[in-house]
Amino acid sequence: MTMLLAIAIVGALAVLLAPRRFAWALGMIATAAVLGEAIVLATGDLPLTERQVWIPSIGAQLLWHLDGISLLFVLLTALMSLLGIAASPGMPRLFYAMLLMLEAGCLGVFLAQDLLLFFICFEAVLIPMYFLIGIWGAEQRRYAAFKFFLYTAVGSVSLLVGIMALYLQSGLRTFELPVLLTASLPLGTERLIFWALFLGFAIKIPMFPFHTWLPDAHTQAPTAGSVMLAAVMLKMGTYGFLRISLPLLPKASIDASIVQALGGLSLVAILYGAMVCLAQKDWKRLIAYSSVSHLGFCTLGLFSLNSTGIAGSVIQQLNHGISTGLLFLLAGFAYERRHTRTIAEYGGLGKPMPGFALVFGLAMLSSIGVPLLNGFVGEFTILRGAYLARPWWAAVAVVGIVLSAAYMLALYRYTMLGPITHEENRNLPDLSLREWAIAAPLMAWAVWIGVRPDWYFHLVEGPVEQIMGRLRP
Amino acid sequence: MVNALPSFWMIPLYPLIGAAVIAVLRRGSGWIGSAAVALSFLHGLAAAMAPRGGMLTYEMYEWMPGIEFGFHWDELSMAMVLIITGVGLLIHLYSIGYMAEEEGFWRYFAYLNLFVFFMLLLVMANNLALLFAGWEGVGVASYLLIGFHHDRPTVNRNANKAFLYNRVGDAGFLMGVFILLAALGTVDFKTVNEAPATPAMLVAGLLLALGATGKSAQLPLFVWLPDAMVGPTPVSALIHAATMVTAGIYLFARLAPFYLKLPEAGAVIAAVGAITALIAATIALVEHDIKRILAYSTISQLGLMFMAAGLGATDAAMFHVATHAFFKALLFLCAGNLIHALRGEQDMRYMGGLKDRMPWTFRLMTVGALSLAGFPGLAGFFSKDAILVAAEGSPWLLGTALTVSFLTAAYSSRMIWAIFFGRYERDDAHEAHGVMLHTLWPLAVGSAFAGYFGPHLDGAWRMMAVSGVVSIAGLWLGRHLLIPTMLVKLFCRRWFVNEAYEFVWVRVVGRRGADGLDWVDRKVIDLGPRGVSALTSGCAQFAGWFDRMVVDGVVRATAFAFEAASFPVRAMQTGRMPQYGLMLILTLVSALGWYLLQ
Repeated sequence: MTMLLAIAIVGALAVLLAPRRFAWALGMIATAAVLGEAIVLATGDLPLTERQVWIPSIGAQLLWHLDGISLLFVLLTALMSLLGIAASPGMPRLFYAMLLMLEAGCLGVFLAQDLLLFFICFEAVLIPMYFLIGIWGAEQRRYAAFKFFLYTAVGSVSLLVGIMALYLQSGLRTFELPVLLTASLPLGTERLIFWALFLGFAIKIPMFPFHTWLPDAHTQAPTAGSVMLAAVMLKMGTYGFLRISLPLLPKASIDASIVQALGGLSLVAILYGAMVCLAQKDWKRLIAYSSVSHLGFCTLGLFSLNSTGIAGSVIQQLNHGISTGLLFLLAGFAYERRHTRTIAEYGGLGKPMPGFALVFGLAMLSSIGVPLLNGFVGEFTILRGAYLARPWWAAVAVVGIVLSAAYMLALYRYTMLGPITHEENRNLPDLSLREWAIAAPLMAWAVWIGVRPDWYFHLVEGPVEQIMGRLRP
Repeated sequence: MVNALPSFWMIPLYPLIGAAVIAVLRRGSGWIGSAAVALSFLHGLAAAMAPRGGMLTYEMYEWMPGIEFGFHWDELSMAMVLIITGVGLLIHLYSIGYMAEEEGFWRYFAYLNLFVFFMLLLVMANNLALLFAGWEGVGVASYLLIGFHHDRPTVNRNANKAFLYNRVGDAGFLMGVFILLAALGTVDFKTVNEAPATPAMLVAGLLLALGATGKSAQLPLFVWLPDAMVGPTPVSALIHAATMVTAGIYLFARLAPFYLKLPEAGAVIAAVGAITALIAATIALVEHDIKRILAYSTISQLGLMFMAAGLGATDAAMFHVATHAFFKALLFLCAGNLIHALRGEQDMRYMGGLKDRMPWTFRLMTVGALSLAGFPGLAGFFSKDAILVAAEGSPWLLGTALTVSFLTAAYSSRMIWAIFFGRYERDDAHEAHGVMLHTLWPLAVGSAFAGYFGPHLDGAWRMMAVSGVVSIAGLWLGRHLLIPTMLVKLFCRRWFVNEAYEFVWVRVVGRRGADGLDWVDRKVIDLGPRGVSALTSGCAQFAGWFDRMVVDGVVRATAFAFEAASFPVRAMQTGRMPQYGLMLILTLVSALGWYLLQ
């Protein structure tokens, strides 16, 4: 596992030192190597643990742990980084170095089993992302980067407070997660710590009403940045809930007021995000708001607090990474051709770009949860779990799948279908071989999860049971 | 001959492979697509012939926890598979002629094959979740095919509308599935059919029925079907008449033991069916667009099937599904011939007198219309009679059903008269030929004689006589159709259902609501962070000012004070020796003087 991070970091340094014309190729090689290593890990035995001494005086160590849930996110991160770099040729060396640093940070978050290490990795991804948006973003990049940084920094401060409180209140003087599990705090303390951690994770996810940094950051970020942000970084928040809040604070997590608040916020996010999507005129902004809605499903599944809901949530997080990643890549391809994100500037792209329309159609169907594609498996399982928890949650959330079809079909209609309204669009080239190669793995993955999700359910079964074991009173 | 039964699960695969091959080759797509469906049909036929005992199940793997990816094969699936692939094959062949001049020919056949795959998945799935996969899949295929001519006006709008109305039903369907999953832990048909009747089951049954009203175009969700007629006509024949829209009735037949235990749900379903049948029949009476007449007729006939299914007579309902597949597909394809011959004209008011120009289409369409009208002896007569017999217990439902039969006969007759009789005023009509004509024969044979292979009805002579009289009266009246103007207006506005939906969902929720929330998001939710940032930057400004004025001020004031205090001292330090000397002397003198004065 240390290899994963080491390759990414060494890759980043190598890219910086090598001549500029090799930068893209080096970046591809490094991310491909990470992906290869991740696949090797996936085929091996799980779970895996690695431990090294770090700062013994305060009880912090380099503790990495790979189980079924981590593995899914590691695979997603590795693939998305590779595709993100593949989708951005000809950029400066620093750009690729930043992406590799970002990858290393994300991998660290999904592997760390030591709270201090987790926090440092959680923070470390902010810096490369800030520069990716701020340097290579669109017209309002500085505003967006600043907003993103400040917003998440506030969350991080709150998260740090929560982690320190856990460290001190448990009295164990360690940051090691498995050891902290043995601590038992009074409900009041747990509740306070829960809300501190909540702010950190909720901003990252983002949950309603902390989501307003997301549309700006997504819209302004370069393609690779949007892809990493949507596919991987948003999952760090839900992953935090899953790994830290739920198992370490079980009493607060099953506390009725907290569950109701979180469930309610998730429902609002689902419906509100979807409604706001309907009003968007900017391609990337629409997908950004759809992320708010989809992540609402993920948090709803988590706070259903049953194994069905949590397993569905994990799988849906992966699914959201795949389908929204693909949607952002496609939006990037369209932007490279026309240099605009305004939906009204497109229309009738299906004629000059049938391959693009096909891939986009598949991404859309995957995103709105059509069965035999990945989105359905996640949404179905989440709603099933939500129904078990509180039937009315499922009844409200199910409206979200109607709205998601409404806004995605509208986006498809106004970009891909109809007569060609702008002459510039008449002779746009269809997907190139490189673009096909970028889209193909994601499409294949979407179909695989949709048809044979059994491997994924099997993979998350054990870790989810562990979490559930903590939550049963 | 090898036994085709154990490999029955391969039946849906042929069209799926067909669609993939077409998408790759993009050549010879019509024949590849037809061959794929033909293979499914032959495999289905062979499996139907093979001797078997009871239901056959083939479970592949656990798709999701507690839900198998499995197929099954029994009488019901067999009947549906043969209808889908049989009618589907004819329509594929017909389309080779009909779509010959279209751009994107291969795309059409790929979609059509995909549709057949999902439809077969729907009727062969052995549990509700997998059935739902087919259910949504046919919705997607239907969306793609309605929107096939996507550069024409209103086409995309109507395709989206069809998908979204279906999605509303599907949301209900999913909720029903969740209730069943929570109560039973699984949703395979065997377990569901054995479930005890509880209030939760009743809610589940009604929610599944809501899904069925979406797919089968019943109240409250029927408005999408007439608008779906912007799709190519063979698509209307296959998807929006013969197969996909009957999925709801298939669902009731599949869950017949489940619904038998829930008479309240059955009553609701029957009432919904009866009302829809009546409303749709009245609209069909005053429409002018030939495809829309057939669409409303389909809704009306599906209403009758819903009524029968609600009353527990799923055999009668499925019988009508089968005969309806024949005569409605026949009517649609005949309409396709007319539209093709008249270069896209669909309005009956611009037709007339085509009897001599298109003699074969005339005869075939008349057979279809008579069968639809329930003319004694034809297929539609027997299946409708089975439904009437089922409704005998309730005078309201029976009365409605008879009224609908009468109206059906009236609009069928009106349609035939308007199209084929009267004066011929055009010069472009020509008879169809080749596949576009010859694929109609099997359908016509089915429309005429399929009635003799249905469930046998004993002692229903009285009902048969009544229904025959009603049908003939309607046919006779249809020729001299006079309807009060006020009713025409109501019927022409389609009972204002569509307008009401448009207003609520599109204008109020879709546009106002979304714009409003977008405003809220930009102006209100974003206010928090922006307020904080304004506050922060205000604080920063103030701190800056404070720093400059107060903190720095203190420093500077101190400096100034020292400077001021140092002024006299500084004034003395001029560096001139005479002055220093003077100072020295003055100091000495004054010190000395002070000492002396002491």
